[in-house]
Amino acid sequence: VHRRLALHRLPGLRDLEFSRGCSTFILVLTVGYLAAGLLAAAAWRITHNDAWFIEFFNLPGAALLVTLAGLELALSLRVAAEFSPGQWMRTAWRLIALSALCDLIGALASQIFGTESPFNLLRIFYPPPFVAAMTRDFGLVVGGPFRFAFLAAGLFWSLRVYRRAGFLGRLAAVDWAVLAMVFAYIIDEAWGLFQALEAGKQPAPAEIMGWPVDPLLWVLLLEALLLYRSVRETGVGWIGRCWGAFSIGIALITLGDVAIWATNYGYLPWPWSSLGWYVWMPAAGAFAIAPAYQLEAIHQARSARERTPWAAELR
Amino acid sequence: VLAGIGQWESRRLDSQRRGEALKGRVAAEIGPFLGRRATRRLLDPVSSGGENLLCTIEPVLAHFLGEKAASELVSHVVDAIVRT
Repeated sequence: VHRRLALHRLPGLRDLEFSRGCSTFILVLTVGYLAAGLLAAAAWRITHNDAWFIEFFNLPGAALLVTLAGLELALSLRVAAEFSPGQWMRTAWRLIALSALCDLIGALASQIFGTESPFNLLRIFYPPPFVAAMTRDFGLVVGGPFRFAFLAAGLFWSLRVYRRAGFLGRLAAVDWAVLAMVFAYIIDEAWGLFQALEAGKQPAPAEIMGWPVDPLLWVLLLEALLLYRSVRETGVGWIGRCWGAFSIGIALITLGDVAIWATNYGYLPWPWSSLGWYVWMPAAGAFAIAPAYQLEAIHQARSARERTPWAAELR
Repeated sequence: VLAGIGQWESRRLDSQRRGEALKGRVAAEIGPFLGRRATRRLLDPVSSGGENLLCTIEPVLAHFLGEKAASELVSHVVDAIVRT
């Protein structure tokens, strides 16, 4: 992916100057969208017209998810290029970039090409409805288990770096409790699935491909908690902000997953279930901002000499 | 003998103070990257003369920032120490 796409060699990404303000841009974009989304929700509640809310997620919401996934991919590739061959963080960032590529493909397929969105240029060919459904399923599989598997592998390598540096944190009792609760939820879900299969349920291939999502999310949550504890252990620095952002992104995704489960089982009735839709925007923002923070840290390190008062003398 | 002990004691305290000042200077430069607690822990085994300073901090910075960025930052740290 790294060699073929060579995104890090794009003119704008070649030097590190662009990384200045990159995180601010992502933050402002995400917060702005969230504010607009809340305004759309308010308009929906006042006018009782669903279109306000649904169109917001169909058009600007989908565009934001695709944009943030693209940013995450480009920035992760740029970060990976900053590490030398053989360095563990290079492996970590390449795997994270692969995960971002899956996220981008998944977002394009499930949010644009698998829907009736005006951005969907494939609609001019009038494809039969099953093509859109297949595209959406493909997007959910690539953007689900594949994305999470690569992300889990990438974070595993970053945790190895923390361990090697002696900065790996320890899980607190509350972390074990959260992990135990999510584990119980996965067991409950697996038991429900087993019973349905026993009763003769015939799952579709796309559904089967989605089964590893929750166990993978549990692994990601474990890694996110370890990263969070490690960042707390080190004290927040420019490097810690990057891994902290990944922790927040994973926590939000887990929350979104639980909201989907609660909606499906009727614990979260409409319209409250729609609140779960908002989780995906800050989650995508957190995943995009993480490599931006790492690039900013690298840029600060590489320009440290230029920023000193005696820089002119050194030149 | 007492004067000798006094001189030795003052030299030892001087060297200790210089070591602390050196660590403080380095911590000010790399602390914003690694975090305050990680920096303190990293600099703990550094001798007061600072002989093992570079070989202690550079590998850790390289793990997290890449070799090029770590090398630039360490050069900056050395400049900062020399200047003060």
